[in-house]
Amino acid sequence: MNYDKIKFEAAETRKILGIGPYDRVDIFRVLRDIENISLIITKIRGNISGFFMRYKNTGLIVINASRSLGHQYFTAAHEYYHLKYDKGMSAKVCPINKFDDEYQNERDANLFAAQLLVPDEALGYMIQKRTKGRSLTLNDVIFLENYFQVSHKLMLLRLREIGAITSKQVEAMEKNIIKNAALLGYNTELYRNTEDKGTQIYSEYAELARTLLETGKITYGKYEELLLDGGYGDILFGENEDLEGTENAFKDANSI
Amino acid sequence: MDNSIFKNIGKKLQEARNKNGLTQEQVAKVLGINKVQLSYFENGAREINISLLQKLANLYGYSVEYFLGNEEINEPDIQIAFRAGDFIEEDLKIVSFAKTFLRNLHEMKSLLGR
Repeated sequence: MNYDKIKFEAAETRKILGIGPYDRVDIFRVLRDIENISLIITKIRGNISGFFMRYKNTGLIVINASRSLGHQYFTAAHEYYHLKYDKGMSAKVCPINKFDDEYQNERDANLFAAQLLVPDEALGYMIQKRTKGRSLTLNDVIFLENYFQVSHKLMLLRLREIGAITSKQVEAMEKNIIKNAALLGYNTELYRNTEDKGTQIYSEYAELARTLLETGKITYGKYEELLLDGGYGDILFGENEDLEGTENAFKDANSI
Repeated sequence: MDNSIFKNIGKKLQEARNKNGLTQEQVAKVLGINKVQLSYFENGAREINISLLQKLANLYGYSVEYFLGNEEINEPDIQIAFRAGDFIEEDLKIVSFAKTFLRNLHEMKSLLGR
């Protein structure tokens, strides 16, 4: 395994993106706002975490909304690796929950995602900061996964990898995680799927269509067709009442 | 219309389906047609309507023009290598949607010179 190479690529990626060595990565924001990679989160019934597609210089990542939000973040980082480093590939389906995948590039993508989201050094630093040398408890694990915004499974895996907990501890800490997180006062969204949100699209797609229309490069008919094709039917046919009115924010904003 | 046109379209349809690793049965289910009909289209034995051709193009990740044109356009592929158990038929609609989304996105960027 190209362990050192992938670890370096993850560290280098964090540096290029301007993410501090101990900061958590908002991977959806990175993809959408920095890398300009479109993201669609939608329910997929099959046994996959997500897939990516590339057409010339345009990239798209589709993520399975049926998996926990923590798992979705990992999938996004995994697919990001394929788009960024698997240059010869135009598309790929990635299976779910298979950390020991038989394919080398899948293992590399998993390693990259783990190191991008939870680098060894950052994990070590946060453990030390919280525990000051005492043994890790389940509460600490829940704190760490919420800090890095990753699934419980991944956090346990990472902690075992760096030798912070044993396999026996992993076994003991696997169950009832949502209940335990709730008891500690954490928002449990990280552990739940996002099916109830419907299909979420993060892309410049609608803005590009609007710009083309406003600059007279396409007809209104084509604009409608593009929006419908792209899953933006609500822009054309949605209730506009909620969109009207003024923003309810500071009245004294001018004084800032 | 000249029968060779349908044969040419059919040949390309079959190639595109094979490259995507899909069976006639899977594709027919997604499109809501029967397998025999699809087989006729792939053999060039029946005329295919443009709306169905568009759906197939979306699913396979090609433009409609690719299937209609005579010349061998070297289209960049947006093919997904399916492994057994990856998707169920219902999900192929999502794949098709994603391919259309990506193709449109790219074309819009090109129109704006980005």
